[in-house]
Amino acid sequence: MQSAKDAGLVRCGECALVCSFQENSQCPRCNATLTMRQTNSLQKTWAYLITACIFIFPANFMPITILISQGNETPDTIMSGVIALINSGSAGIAIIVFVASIVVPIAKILGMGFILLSLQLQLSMSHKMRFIMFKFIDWVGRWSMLDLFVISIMVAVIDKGQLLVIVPGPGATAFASVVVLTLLAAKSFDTRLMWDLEKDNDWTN
Amino acid sequence: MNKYNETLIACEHCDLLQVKQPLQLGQIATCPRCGSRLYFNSICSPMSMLALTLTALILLLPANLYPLLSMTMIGSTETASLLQATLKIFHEGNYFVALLIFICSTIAPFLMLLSLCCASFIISFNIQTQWLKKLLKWTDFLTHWSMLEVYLVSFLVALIKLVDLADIELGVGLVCFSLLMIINSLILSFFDASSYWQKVPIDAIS
Ligand SMILES: [Zn+2]
Ligand SMILES: [Zn+2]
Repeated sequence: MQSAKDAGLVRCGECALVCSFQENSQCPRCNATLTMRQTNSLQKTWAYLITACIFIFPANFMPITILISQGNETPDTIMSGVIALINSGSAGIAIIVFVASIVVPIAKILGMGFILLSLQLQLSMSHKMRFIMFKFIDWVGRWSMLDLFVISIMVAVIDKGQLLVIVPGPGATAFASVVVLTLLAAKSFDTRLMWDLEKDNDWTN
Repeated sequence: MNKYNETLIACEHCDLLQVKQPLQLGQIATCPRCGSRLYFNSICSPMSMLALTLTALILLLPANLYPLLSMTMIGSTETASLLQATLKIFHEGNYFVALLIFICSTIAPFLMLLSLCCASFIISFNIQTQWLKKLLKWTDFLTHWSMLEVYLVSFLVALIKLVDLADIELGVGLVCFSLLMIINSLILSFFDASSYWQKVPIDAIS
């Protein structure tokens, strides 16, 4: 068994038709431009990851929501929100929010960074393991949207004018950027590059 | 003009080249190298898919417009529908966050269902049109940004946060939204893009 690339064939990125490969040619079925691998996949993924790395600091340290009650402003960061949940006795929900908003974005950046480095340094590592790791990172990433959805519901429902309102803080914008950037990072990563490393076609491990 | 071979399939994730085998109804072909799903013989015909997507599209309207919950606190009652919740963030001036929430919870699910609905219609009734390609491309792209299941879990989290603060009453919107999410998951698990793409004619001249 061999890769399509080794056979001089390419899978159309849009419609999956297997075609013979020529530079700058189009898919006969869907007219998409055929490329053997996503162009500059590693560079693009790095760029998204590094930008996400920068935004993750304001996302965690700036207030994500601000509670205004009779003129008093109480800013809440993601972490202080989690602590408030623990204190109010909903530890289960606190864990969900903690994992979705803090653990997942950081783990995603570190995990993707590790996968990219291990590819570029050609570390010997089971391709299957690396792929499962990527699949998991890719799947879990969308759950980071959770906190933003929660905020939108809270903001809509807690609106008592002068008495009590919740507004989103600057941390929310930074957090949204992290979510989008990590999603784009996972999308621009071409998993086929992992298997291109194999020279002897031994993929039993 | 590129040569092509419809009897071959290359794995999306690891590029392993294989010969397509005919499958029995409901069978799934997976990649022996990386374990990804290659193609499958869906038990859901384009006609049934048309019915499913139409149902989902109809549910989408009340799911977005009717209140998910209403909350009584300090003597007054506030209701919130999905769309209201998004608009509130927009009015607070947080346009980027509002746009992202709007895309993931309303626009992407809507356009994805609409594209798939139109594609199923075109295939069910054998209509020849250039639009099929575009519709299938949009369906694939929008699936990534449609996050209904995440929204439903978020709603539960918000509910538990709010339940200590005030009297909560769940709304009709929540019922419609839950149904929408269930049908949407069914659609995603039944939709086999490769069988739809096979219906697109391949131009001889390109
Ligand atoms: Zn194509
Ligand atoms: Zn594979």
